[in-house]
Amino acid sequence: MLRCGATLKSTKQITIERAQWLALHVVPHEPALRAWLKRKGGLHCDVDDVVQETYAILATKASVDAILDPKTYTFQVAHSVILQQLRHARVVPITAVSDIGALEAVMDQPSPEDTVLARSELEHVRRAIEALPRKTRAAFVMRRVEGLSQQEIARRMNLSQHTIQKQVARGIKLLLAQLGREEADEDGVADQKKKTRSVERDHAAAKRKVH
Amino acid sequence: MITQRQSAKSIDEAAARWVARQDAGELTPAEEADLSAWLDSDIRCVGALARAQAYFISPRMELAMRMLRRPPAPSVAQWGTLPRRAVLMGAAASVLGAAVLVRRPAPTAGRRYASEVGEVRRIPLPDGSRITLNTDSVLEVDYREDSRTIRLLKGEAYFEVAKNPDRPFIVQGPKAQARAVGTAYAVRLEDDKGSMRVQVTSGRVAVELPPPAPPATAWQALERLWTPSAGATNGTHVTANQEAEVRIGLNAAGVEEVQVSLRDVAPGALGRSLMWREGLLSFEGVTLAEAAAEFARYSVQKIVVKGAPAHERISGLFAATDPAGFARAIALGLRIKSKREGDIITLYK
Repeated sequence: MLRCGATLKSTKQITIERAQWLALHVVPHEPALRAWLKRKGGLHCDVDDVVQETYAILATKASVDAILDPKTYTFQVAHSVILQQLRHARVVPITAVSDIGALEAVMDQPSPEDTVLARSELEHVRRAIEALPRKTRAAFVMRRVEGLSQQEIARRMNLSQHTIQKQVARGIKLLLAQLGREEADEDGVADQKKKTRSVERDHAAAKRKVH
Repeated sequence: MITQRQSAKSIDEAAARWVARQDAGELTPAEEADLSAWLDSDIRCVGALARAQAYFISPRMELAMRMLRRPPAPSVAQWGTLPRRAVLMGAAASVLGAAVLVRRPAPTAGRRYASEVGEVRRIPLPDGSRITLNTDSVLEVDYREDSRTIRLLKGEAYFEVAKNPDRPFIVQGPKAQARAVGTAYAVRLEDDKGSMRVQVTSGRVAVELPPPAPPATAWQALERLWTPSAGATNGTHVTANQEAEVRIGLNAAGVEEVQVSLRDVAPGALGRSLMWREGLLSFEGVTLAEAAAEFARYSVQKIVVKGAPAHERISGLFAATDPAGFARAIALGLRIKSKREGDIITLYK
Protein backbone atom coordinates (compact mmCIF):
# COMPACT_ATOMS: atom_id res chain seq x y z
CA MET A 1 0.00 0.00 0.00
CA LEU A 2 2.77 2.40 0.89
CA ARG A 3 5.34 2.88 -1.73
CA CYS A 4 7.43 5.67 -0.35
CA GLY A 5 11.01 4.64 -0.01
CA ALA A 6 10.57 1.22 -1.55
CA THR A 7 12.70 1.87 -4.60
CA LEU A 8 15.10 4.44 -3.28
CA LYS A 9 18.70 4.31 -4.26
CA SER A 10 20.58 7.13 -2.58
CA THR A 11 22.10 6.21 0.77
CA LYS A 12 20.55 9.31 2.30
CA GLN A 13 17.05 8.21 1.41
CA ILE A 14 14.91 6.61 4.04
CA THR A 15 13.63 3.05 4.04
CA ILE A 16 9.99 2.35 4.71
CA GLU A 17 10.98 0.33 7.80
CA ARG A 18 12.86 3.28 9.23
CA ALA A 19 9.98 5.68 8.51
CA GLN A 20 7.67 3.27 10.31
CA TRP A 21 10.03 3.05 13.25
CA LEU A 22 10.12 6.85 13.42
CA ALA A 23 6.33 7.03 13.19
CA LEU A 24 5.91 4.56 16.01
CA HIS A 25 8.71 5.60 18.35
CA VAL A 26 9.70 9.20 17.66
CA VAL A 27 6.66 11.07 16.29
CA PRO A 28 4.66 10.50 19.52
CA HIS A 29 7.41 12.21 21.53
CA GLU A 30 7.90 15.14 19.17
CA PRO A 31 5.61 17.54 21.10
CA ALA A 32 7.52 16.77 24.30
CA LEU A 33 10.81 17.22 22.47
CA ARG A 34 9.71 20.57 21.04
CA ALA A 35 8.43 21.77 24.41
CA TRP A 36 11.71 20.74 25.99
CA LEU A 37 13.76 22.50 23.31
CA LYS A 38 11.60 25.57 23.71
CA ARG A 39 12.14 25.60 27.47
CA LYS A 40 15.83 25.66 26.65
CA GLY A 41 15.12 28.80 24.59
CA GLY A 42 18.10 30.48 26.21
CA LEU A 43 20.30 28.29 24.08
CA HIS A 44 19.31 30.37 21.04
CA CYS A 45 18.73 27.28 18.99
CA ASP A 46 16.11 27.10 16.30
CA VAL A 47 13.70 24.38 17.40
CA ASP A 48 12.68 23.47 13.83
CA ASP A 49 16.31 23.10 12.77
CA VAL A 50 17.15 20.91 15.74
CA VAL A 51 14.09 18.72 15.15
CA GLN A 52 14.93 18.27 11.46
CA GLU A 53 18.54 17.39 12.23
CA THR A 54 17.47 14.99 14.95
CA TYR A 55 15.21 13.18 12.49
CA ALA A 56 18.06 13.16 9.96
CA ILE A 57 20.41 11.43 12.40
CA LEU A 58 17.78 8.89 13.44
CA ALA A 59 16.78 8.27 9.81
CA THR A 60 20.29 7.62 8.56
CA LYS A 61 21.60 5.66 11.53
CA ALA A 62 22.77 2.26 10.29
CA SER A 63 20.56 0.36 12.71
CA VAL A 64 18.02 1.23 15.37
CA ASP A 65 17.78 -2.31 16.74
CA ALA A 66 19.88 -1.53 19.80
CA ILE A 67 17.77 1.45 20.86
CA LEU A 68 15.79 0.26 23.86
CA ASP A 69 14.32 3.58 24.91
CA PRO A 70 13.62 5.61 21.76
CA LYS A 71 12.34 8.64 23.68
CA THR A 72 15.46 9.11 25.77
CA TYR A 73 17.59 8.35 22.74
CA THR A 74 15.78 11.00 20.67
CA PHE A 75 16.31 13.58 23.40
CA GLN A 76 19.99 12.64 23.58
CA VAL A 77 20.37 13.05 19.82
CA ALA A 78 18.65 16.46 19.98
CA HIS A 79 20.98 17.39 22.81
CA SER A 80 24.03 16.47 20.76
CA VAL A 81 22.65 18.50 17.83
CA ILE A 82 22.42 21.56 20.08
CA LEU A 83 25.96 21.06 21.34
CA GLN A 84 27.16 20.67 17.76
CA GLN A 85 25.44 23.90 16.76
CA LEU A 86 26.96 25.74 19.71
CA ARG A 87 30.43 24.54 18.78
CA HIS A 88 29.95 25.75 15.24
CA ALA A 89 28.45 29.08 16.18
CA ARG A 90 31.05 31.82 15.92
CA VAL A 91 29.96 33.65 19.04
CA VAL A 92 28.52 31.53 21.78
CA PRO A 93 26.22 33.57 23.98
CA ILE A 94 27.23 33.38 27.64
CA THR A 95 23.77 32.19 28.65
CA ALA A 96 23.97 29.29 26.25
CA VAL A 97 27.03 27.84 27.93
CA SER A 98 25.63 28.08 31.43
CA ASP A 99 22.38 26.53 30.26
CA ILE A 100 24.15 23.37 29.16
CA GLY A 101 24.40 22.29 32.79
CA ALA A 102 20.67 22.75 33.22
CA LEU A 103 20.10 20.82 30.03
CA GLU A 104 22.03 17.84 31.30
CA ALA A 105 20.14 17.88 34.57
CA VAL A 106 16.86 17.78 32.67
CA MET A 107 18.05 14.93 30.49
CA ASP A 108 18.00 12.55 33.43
CA GLN A 109 14.33 12.90 34.22
CA PRO A 110 11.74 13.78 31.63
CA SER A 111 9.43 16.29 33.32
CA PRO A 112 5.82 15.45 34.13
CA GLU A 113 4.76 17.90 31.42
CA ASP A 114 6.42 15.63 28.88
CA THR A 115 4.08 12.83 29.84
CA VAL A 116 1.05 15.08 29.69
CA LEU A 117 2.11 16.40 26.31
CA ALA A 118 2.56 12.91 24.92
CA ARG A 119 -0.95 12.13 26.02
CA SER A 120 -2.46 15.18 24.39
CA GLU A 121 -0.48 14.57 21.21
CA LEU A 122 -3.36 12.69 19.62
CA GLU A 123 -5.63 15.62 20.37
CA HIS A 124 -3.13 17.93 18.61
CA VAL A 125 -3.08 15.64 15.60
CA ARG A 126 -6.85 15.49 15.56
CA ARG A 127 -7.16 19.26 15.64
CA ALA A 128 -4.54 19.64 12.93
CA ILE A 129 -6.43 17.25 10.65
CA GLU A 130 -9.69 18.98 11.39
CA ALA A 131 -8.13 22.28 10.33
CA LEU A 132 -7.22 20.96 6.86
CA PRO A 133 -9.16 22.34 3.88
CA ARG A 134 -12.12 20.12 3.07
CA LYS A 135 -10.86 18.73 -0.23
CA THR A 136 -7.37 18.12 1.12
CA ARG A 137 -8.76 16.28 4.11
CA ALA A 138 -11.06 14.18 1.93
CA ALA A 139 -8.12 13.08 -0.24
CA PHE A 140 -6.02 12.44 2.84
CA VAL A 141 -8.67 10.32 4.52
CA MET A 142 -9.30 8.26 1.39
CA ARG A 143 -5.57 7.65 1.06
CA ARG A 144 -4.74 6.85 4.68
CA VAL A 145 -7.97 5.51 6.17
CA GLU A 146 -9.61 3.87 3.16
CA GLY A 147 -6.25 2.83 1.76
CA LEU A 148 -7.13 3.95 -1.78
CA SER A 149 -4.27 4.73 -4.18
CA GLN A 150 -3.85 8.29 -5.40
CA GLN A 151 -4.98 7.05 -8.81
CA GLU A 152 -8.18 5.59 -7.35
CA ILE A 153 -8.86 8.78 -5.40
CA ALA A 154 -8.43 10.83 -8.56
CA ARG A 155 -11.00 8.63 -10.30
CA ARG A 156 -13.49 8.91 -7.44
CA MET A 157 -13.14 12.64 -7.01
CA ASN A 158 -13.11 13.13 -10.77
CA LEU A 159 -9.89 15.10 -10.60
CA SER A 160 -6.51 14.61 -12.23
CA GLN A 161 -3.93 12.45 -10.51
CA HIS A 162 -1.64 15.46 -10.45
CA THR A 163 -4.23 17.42 -8.47
CA ILE A 164 -4.55 14.63 -5.93
CA GLN A 165 -0.78 14.48 -5.53
CA LYS A 166 -0.82 18.22 -4.88
CA GLN A 167 -3.61 17.82 -2.32
CA VAL A 168 -1.66 15.10 -0.51
CA ALA A 169 1.47 17.28 -0.52
CA ARG A 170 -0.58 20.18 0.77
CA GLY A 171 -2.03 18.04 3.54
CA ILE A 172 1.39 16.84 4.68
CA LYS A 173 2.77 20.39 4.50
CA LEU A 174 -0.08 21.83 6.58
CA LEU A 175 0.09 19.04 9.14
CA LEU A 176 3.84 19.43 9.58
CA ALA A 177 3.48 23.19 9.97
CA GLN A 178 0.45 22.92 12.24
CA LEU A 179 2.02 20.35 14.53
CA GLY A 180 5.20 22.37 14.83
CA ARG A 181 3.29 25.55 15.55
CA GLU A 182 0.92 23.97 18.07
CA GLU A 183 3.63 23.98 20.72
CA ALA A 184 4.47 27.60 20.09
CA ASP A 185 0.90 28.56 20.94
CA GLU A 186 1.04 26.73 24.23
CA ASP A 187 4.32 28.29 25.13
CA GLY A 188 3.21 31.70 23.97
CA VAL A 189 4.62 33.62 26.92
CA ALA A 190 8.12 32.23 26.60
CA ASP A 191 7.90 32.85 22.87
CA GLN A 192 6.97 36.46 23.44
CA LYS A 193 9.96 36.90 25.72
CA LYS A 194 12.25 35.41 23.14
CA LYS A 195 10.83 37.74 20.50
CA THR A 196 11.41 40.76 22.73
CA ARG A 197 14.96 39.60 23.34
CA SER A 198 15.69 39.16 19.68
CA VAL A 199 14.20 42.57 18.91
CA GLU A 200 16.55 44.09 21.50
CA ARG A 201 19.43 42.25 19.90
CA ASP A 202 18.47 43.57 16.48
CA HIS A 203 18.34 47.09 17.88
CA ALA A 204 21.79 46.72 19.36
CA ALA A 205 23.11 45.38 16.07
CA ALA A 206 21.53 48.27 14.17
CA LYS A 207 23.14 50.78 16.53
CA ARG A 208 26.55 49.22 16.06
CA LYS A 209 26.14 49.52 12.33
CA VAL A 210 25.24 53.20 12.52
CA HIS A 211 28.22 54.10 14.67
CA MET B 1 29.69 35.86 -0.54
CA ILE B 2 26.14 35.31 0.54
CA THR B 3 25.00 31.73 0.98
CA GLN B 4 21.29 31.43 1.27
CA ARG B 5 20.25 29.11 4.05
CA GLN B 6 16.94 27.42 3.40
CA SER B 7 14.33 28.03 6.05
CA ALA B 8 13.00 25.08 8.01
CA LYS B 9 9.59 25.90 6.57
CA SER B 10 10.65 25.77 2.93
CA ILE B 11 12.46 22.48 3.61
CA ASP B 12 9.29 21.05 5.14
CA GLU B 13 7.28 22.13 2.09
CA ALA B 14 9.69 20.46 -0.29
CA ALA B 15 9.69 17.32 1.89
CA ALA B 16 5.89 17.22 1.78
CA ARG B 17 5.98 17.44 -2.04
CA TRP B 18 8.49 14.59 -2.27
CA VAL B 19 6.52 12.31 0.05
CA ALA B 20 3.33 12.94 -1.96
CA ARG B 21 5.26 12.31 -5.17
CA GLN B 22 6.75 9.05 -3.87
CA ASP B 23 3.32 7.99 -2.70
CA ALA B 24 1.93 8.46 -6.23
CA GLY B 25 4.26 5.90 -7.75
CA GLU B 26 7.82 5.15 -8.76
CA LEU B 27 10.05 8.15 -9.47
CA THR B 28 11.58 8.66 -12.89
CA PRO B 29 15.41 8.55 -13.04
CA ALA B 30 15.42 12.33 -13.44
CA GLU B 31 13.28 12.74 -10.34
CA GLU B 32 15.52 10.32 -8.43
CA ALA B 33 18.48 12.51 -9.30
CA ASP B 34 16.62 15.66 -8.23
CA LEU B 35 15.70 14.09 -4.93
CA SER B 36 19.25 12.93 -4.26
CA ALA B 37 20.60 16.39 -5.05
CA TRP B 38 18.06 17.97 -2.74
CA LEU B 39 18.89 15.55 0.08
CA ASP B 40 22.61 16.23 -0.37
CA SER B 41 22.10 19.99 -0.17
CA ASP B 42 21.44 20.09 3.57
CA ILE B 43 21.34 17.50 6.34
CA ARG B 44 18.04 19.04 7.48
CA CYS B 45 16.42 17.96 4.19
CA VAL B 46 17.08 14.33 5.10
CA GLY B 47 15.48 14.85 8.48
CA ALA B 48 12.52 16.73 7.02
CA LEU B 49 11.87 13.95 4.48
CA ALA B 50 12.08 11.28 7.20
CA ARG B 51 9.75 13.29 9.41
CA ALA B 52 7.24 13.93 6.62
CA GLN B 53 7.22 10.22 5.74
CA ALA B 54 6.82 9.25 9.38
CA TYR B 55 3.89 11.62 9.82
CA PHE B 56 2.29 10.49 6.59
CA ILE B 57 2.32 6.82 7.62
CA SER B 58 1.86 7.43 11.36
CA PRO B 59 -0.75 5.10 12.87
CA ARG B 60 -1.76 8.00 15.13
CA MET B 61 -2.51 10.16 12.14
CA GLU B 62 -4.73 7.40 10.84
CA LEU B 63 -6.36 7.01 14.23
CA ALA B 64 -7.02 10.74 14.49
CA MET B 65 -8.61 10.65 11.04
CA ARG B 66 -10.83 7.75 12.01
CA MET B 67 -11.91 9.73 15.05
CA LEU B 68 -12.95 12.61 12.83
CA ARG B 69 -14.99 10.60 10.40
CA ARG B 70 -18.59 11.62 10.17
CA PRO B 71 -21.27 10.68 7.71
CA PRO B 72 -20.11 12.42 4.54
CA ALA B 73 -21.70 15.77 3.78
CA PRO B 74 -23.87 15.89 0.63
CA SER B 75 -21.22 17.72 -1.34
CA VAL B 76 -18.74 14.99 -0.53
CA ALA B 77 -21.14 12.30 -1.63
CA GLN B 78 -20.75 13.24 -5.28
CA TRP B 79 -17.16 12.06 -5.06
CA GLY B 80 -18.44 8.56 -4.47
CA THR B 81 -19.52 7.03 -1.22
CA LEU B 82 -16.96 6.28 1.41
CA PRO B 83 -17.60 3.00 3.18
CA ARG B 84 -19.35 3.94 6.40
CA ARG B 85 -18.04 1.47 8.90
CA ALA B 86 -18.87 3.40 12.01
CA VAL B 87 -21.63 5.94 11.73
CA LEU B 88 -21.27 8.41 14.54
CA MET B 89 -24.13 10.17 16.20
CA GLY B 90 -24.44 12.92 18.76
CA ALA B 91 -22.34 15.97 19.41
CA ALA B 92 -19.86 14.15 21.60
CA ALA B 93 -19.18 11.73 18.79
CA SER B 94 -16.92 14.18 17.01
CA VAL B 95 -14.22 13.24 19.49
CA LEU B 96 -15.00 9.56 19.49
CA GLY B 97 -14.95 7.28 16.58
CA ALA B 98 -12.57 4.51 17.44
CA ALA B 99 -15.42 2.98 19.39
CA VAL B 100 -19.03 3.17 18.32
CA LEU B 101 -20.86 5.57 20.52
CA VAL B 102 -24.60 5.93 20.70
CA ARG B 103 -26.43 8.46 22.80
CA ARG B 104 -29.63 7.16 24.31
CA PRO B 105 -32.33 8.84 26.40
CA ALA B 106 -31.77 9.51 30.10
CA PRO B 107 -32.46 6.57 32.38
CA THR B 108 -35.33 6.09 34.76
CA ALA B 109 -35.21 4.17 38.06
CA GLY B 110 -33.92 0.63 37.89
CA ARG B 111 -32.87 0.69 34.25
CA ARG B 112 -30.30 -1.71 32.97
CA TYR B 113 -27.57 -0.71 30.51
CA ALA B 114 -25.25 -3.00 28.64
CA SER B 115 -22.46 -2.36 26.18
CA GLU B 116 -21.35 -4.67 23.41
CA VAL B 117 -17.77 -5.84 23.02
CA GLY B 118 -15.89 -2.86 21.63
CA GLU B 119 -18.63 -0.39 22.43
CA VAL B 120 -18.23 2.58 24.77
CA ARG B 121 -21.51 4.08 25.92
CA ARG B 122 -22.30 7.42 27.48
CA ILE B 123 -25.23 7.44 29.86
CA PRO B 124 -26.34 10.88 31.07
CA LEU B 125 -28.23 10.92 34.37
CA PRO B 126 -31.01 13.44 35.09
CA ASP B 127 -28.93 15.36 37.66
CA GLY B 128 -26.10 16.02 35.22
CA SER B 129 -23.92 13.13 36.33
CA ARG B 130 -22.48 11.05 33.52
CA ILE B 131 -21.64 7.41 33.22
CA THR B 132 -19.25 6.11 30.59
CA LEU B 133 -19.69 2.38 30.20
CA ASN B 134 -16.63 0.52 28.93
CA THR B 135 -16.61 -2.48 26.60
CA ASP B 136 -18.68 -5.57 27.42
CA SER B 137 -20.15 -4.17 30.64
CA VAL B 138 -23.51 -4.20 32.37
CA LEU B 139 -24.92 -1.94 35.06
CA GLU B 140 -28.23 -0.99 36.60
CA VAL B 141 -29.14 2.54 37.51
CA ASP B 142 -31.42 2.98 40.50
CA TYR B 143 -32.04 6.67 40.59
CA ARG B 144 -34.14 7.96 43.49
CA GLU B 145 -34.86 11.21 45.27
CA ASP B 146 -32.56 10.41 48.18
CA SER B 147 -29.94 8.20 46.57
CA ARG B 148 -28.23 7.36 43.34
CA THR B 149 -27.29 3.71 43.28
CA ILE B 150 -25.51 2.02 40.41
CA ARG B 151 -25.12 -1.75 40.46
CA LEU B 152 -22.11 -2.71 38.36
CA LEU B 153 -22.84 -6.25 37.23
CA LYS B 154 -20.04 -6.72 34.72
CA GLY B 155 -17.04 -4.88 33.33
CA GLU B 156 -16.05 -1.30 34.01
CA ALA B 157 -17.51 2.17 34.08
CA TYR B 158 -16.36 5.71 34.73
CA PHE B 159 -18.54 8.05 36.77
CA GLU B 160 -18.58 11.82 36.72
CA VAL B 161 -20.74 12.69 39.65
CA ALA B 162 -22.65 15.95 39.98
CA LYS B 163 -22.23 17.23 43.54
CA ASN B 164 -25.22 16.61 45.80
CA PRO B 165 -24.55 15.77 49.46
CA ASP B 166 -28.20 14.81 49.98
CA ARG B 167 -28.08 12.11 47.36
CA PRO B 168 -25.04 9.91 47.81
CA PHE B 169 -23.78 8.34 44.62
CA ILE B 170 -23.02 4.69 45.21
CA VAL B 171 -21.51 2.15 42.84
CA GLN B 172 -22.15 -1.34 44.14
CA GLY B 173 -20.02 -4.30 43.19
CA PRO B 174 -20.77 -7.84 44.32
CA LYS B 175 -18.74 -7.56 47.53
CA ALA B 176 -17.98 -3.90 48.05
CA GLN B 177 -19.22 -0.50 47.03
CA ALA B 178 -17.68 2.84 46.20
CA ARG B 179 -19.57 5.85 47.51
CA ALA B 180 -18.99 9.42 46.41
CA VAL B 181 -20.42 12.83 47.08
CA GLY B 182 -19.16 14.76 44.07
CA THR B 183 -16.27 13.35 42.16
CA ALA B 184 -15.05 11.38 39.16
CA TYR B 185 -13.94 7.81 39.40
CA ALA B 186 -13.80 4.49 37.59
CA VAL B 187 -14.86 1.11 38.92
CA ARG B 188 -13.80 -2.11 37.25
CA LEU B 189 -14.85 -5.64 38.15
CA GLU B 190 -11.77 -7.78 37.72
CA ASP B 191 -13.17 -11.27 38.09
CA ASP B 192 -16.44 -12.98 38.96
CA LYS B 193 -15.52 -13.45 42.62
CA GLY B 194 -15.97 -9.80 43.47
CA SER B 195 -12.49 -8.34 42.98
CA MET B 196 -12.76 -4.73 42.00
CA ARG B 197 -10.58 -1.75 41.21
CA VAL B 198 -11.53 1.82 42.04
CA GLN B 199 -9.58 4.66 40.42
CA VAL B 200 -10.29 8.20 41.51
CA THR B 201 -9.47 11.15 39.26
CA SER B 202 -10.94 13.87 41.45
CA GLY B 203 -12.67 14.26 44.80
CA ARG B 204 -12.96 11.48 47.35
CA VAL B 205 -14.58 8.08 47.27
CA ALA B 206 -15.30 5.70 50.16
CA VAL B 207 -14.76 2.04 49.37
CA GLU B 208 -16.92 0.12 51.82
CA LEU B 209 -19.10 -2.92 52.31
CA PRO B 210 -22.55 -2.81 50.80
CA PRO B 211 -25.37 -2.12 53.28
CA PRO B 212 -27.12 -5.53 53.52
CA ALA B 213 -25.28 -7.24 56.40
CA PRO B 214 -23.37 -10.31 55.22
CA PRO B 215 -23.66 -13.57 57.23
CA ALA B 216 -22.51 -13.28 60.83
CA THR B 217 -19.20 -15.14 60.46
CA ALA B 218 -18.10 -13.16 57.46
CA TRP B 219 -19.18 -9.97 59.13
CA GLN B 220 -16.95 -10.65 62.11
CA ALA B 221 -14.04 -11.38 59.84
CA LEU B 222 -14.63 -8.17 57.97
CA GLU B 223 -14.95 -6.00 61.02
CA ARG B 224 -11.24 -6.24 61.65
CA LEU B 225 -10.44 -4.91 58.22
CA TRP B 226 -13.00 -2.23 57.88
CA THR B 227 -12.61 -0.52 61.26
CA PRO B 228 -15.79 -1.50 63.10
CA SER B 229 -17.96 1.57 63.83
CA ALA B 230 -20.80 0.09 61.80
CA GLY B 231 -21.94 3.38 60.35
CA ALA B 232 -22.12 4.71 56.85
CA THR B 233 -18.47 5.79 56.78
CA ASN B 234 -16.71 2.58 57.73
CA GLY B 235 -14.84 2.34 54.45
CA THR B 236 -11.43 3.19 53.13
CA HIS B 237 -11.18 6.62 51.61
CA VAL B 238 -9.67 6.89 48.18
CA THR B 239 -8.71 10.38 47.04
CA ALA B 240 -7.71 11.87 43.68
CA ASN B 241 -4.84 10.06 41.96
CA GLN B 242 -5.22 6.98 44.08
CA GLU B 243 -6.45 3.56 43.24
CA ALA B 244 -7.95 0.94 45.52
CA GLU B 245 -7.87 -2.79 44.83
CA VAL B 246 -10.60 -4.85 46.43
CA ARG B 247 -9.75 -8.54 46.72
CA ILE B 248 -11.63 -11.44 48.15
CA GLY B 249 -9.28 -13.56 50.22
CA LEU B 250 -9.40 -16.07 53.05
CA ASN B 251 -8.26 -15.17 56.52
CA ALA B 252 -6.28 -17.45 58.84
CA ALA B 253 -9.47 -19.19 59.93
CA GLY B 254 -10.37 -19.94 56.33
CA VAL B 255 -13.20 -17.44 56.30
CA GLU B 256 -13.72 -15.30 53.24
CA GLU B 257 -12.85 -11.67 53.77
CA VAL B 258 -12.84 -8.55 51.67
CA GLN B 259 -9.41 -6.92 51.52
CA VAL B 260 -8.63 -3.52 50.21
CA SER B 261 -5.26 -2.04 49.34
CA LEU B 262 -4.59 1.56 48.45
CA ARG B 263 -1.88 3.01 46.27
CA ASP B 264 -0.93 6.33 44.72
CA VAL B 265 -0.97 6.60 40.96
CA ALA B 266 0.82 9.27 38.94
CA PRO B 267 -1.81 11.59 37.40
CA GLY B 268 -0.53 10.84 33.91
CA ALA B 269 -0.74 7.10 34.49
CA LEU B 270 -4.33 7.38 35.70
CA GLY B 271 -5.33 9.44 32.69
CA ARG B 272 -3.68 6.89 30.42
CA SER B 273 -5.48 3.95 31.96
CA LEU B 274 -8.77 5.80 31.47
CA MET B 275 -8.17 6.52 27.77
CA TRP B 276 -10.80 3.87 27.03
CA ARG B 277 -13.35 6.63 27.57
CA GLU B 278 -12.24 7.96 24.20
CA GLY B 279 -12.07 4.55 22.60
CA LEU B 280 -8.32 4.38 23.01
CA LEU B 281 -5.89 2.18 24.86
CA SER B 282 -2.71 3.73 26.14
CA PHE B 283 0.24 1.63 27.14
CA GLU B 284 3.41 2.79 28.80
CA GLY B 285 6.06 0.13 29.24
CA VAL B 286 3.68 -2.82 29.61
CA THR B 287 4.55 -6.25 28.25
CA LEU B 288 3.07 -7.26 24.93
CA ALA B 289 1.23 -10.09 26.70
CA GLU B 290 -0.45 -7.59 29.05
CA ALA B 291 -1.42 -5.35 26.15
CA ALA B 292 -2.88 -8.32 24.26
CA ALA B 293 -4.97 -9.25 27.33
CA GLU B 294 -6.28 -5.69 27.51
CA PHE B 295 -7.23 -5.73 23.81
CA ALA B 296 -9.11 -8.98 24.38
CA ARG B 297 -11.68 -7.03 26.40
CA TYR B 298 -12.60 -4.88 23.43
CA SER B 299 -12.89 -7.18 20.48
CA VAL B 300 -13.85 -10.68 19.47
CA GLN B 301 -10.52 -10.77 17.66
CA LYS B 302 -7.91 -12.07 20.06
CA ILE B 303 -4.18 -11.49 19.93
CA VAL B 304 -1.95 -14.42 20.87
CA VAL B 305 1.73 -13.71 21.49
CA LYS B 306 4.08 -16.67 21.13
CA GLY B 307 7.51 -16.98 22.73
CA ALA B 308 9.92 -14.24 23.73
CA PRO B 309 8.06 -11.26 22.20
CA ALA B 310 5.40 -11.70 24.93
CA HIS B 311 7.86 -10.11 27.37
CA GLU B 312 8.79 -7.17 25.13
CA ARG B 313 7.74 -3.88 26.66
CA ILE B 314 5.74 -1.50 24.51
CA SER B 315 4.34 2.02 24.67
CA GLY B 316 1.80 3.77 22.51
CA LEU B 317 -1.73 4.86 21.92
CA PHE B 318 -4.06 2.61 19.96
CA ALA B 319 -7.70 2.33 18.89
CA ALA B 320 -9.27 -0.05 21.41
CA THR B 321 -11.42 -1.73 18.80
CA ASP B 322 -8.70 -2.28 16.23
CA PRO B 323 -6.54 -5.16 17.51
CA ALA B 324 -5.47 -5.92 13.93
CA GLY B 325 -4.08 -2.41 13.54
CA PHE B 326 -2.32 -2.75 16.88
CA ALA B 327 -0.82 -6.09 15.85
CA ARG B 328 0.39 -4.56 12.56
CA ALA B 329 2.02 -1.62 14.31
CA ILE B 330 3.67 -3.88 16.88
CA ALA B 331 4.89 -6.36 14.28
CA LEU B 332 6.56 -3.49 12.43
CA GLY B 333 7.91 -1.85 15.55
CA LEU B 334 9.35 -4.99 17.10
CA ARG B 335 10.24 -6.59 13.77
CA ILE B 336 8.25 -9.70 14.49
CA LYS B 337 5.74 -11.54 12.33
CA SER B 338 1.98 -11.50 12.50
CA LYS B 339 -0.57 -13.83 11.00
CA ARG B 340 -4.31 -13.90 11.18
CA GLU B 341 -6.56 -16.95 11.19
CA GLY B 342 -10.22 -16.18 11.72
CA ASP B 343 -10.52 -14.20 14.93
CA ILE B 344 -7.04 -15.12 16.15
CA ILE B 345 -4.10 -12.84 15.40
CA THR B 346 -0.79 -14.47 16.27
CA LEU B 347 2.38 -12.49 16.89
CA TYR B 348 5.57 -14.52 16.75
CA LYS B 349 9.29 -14.20 16.16
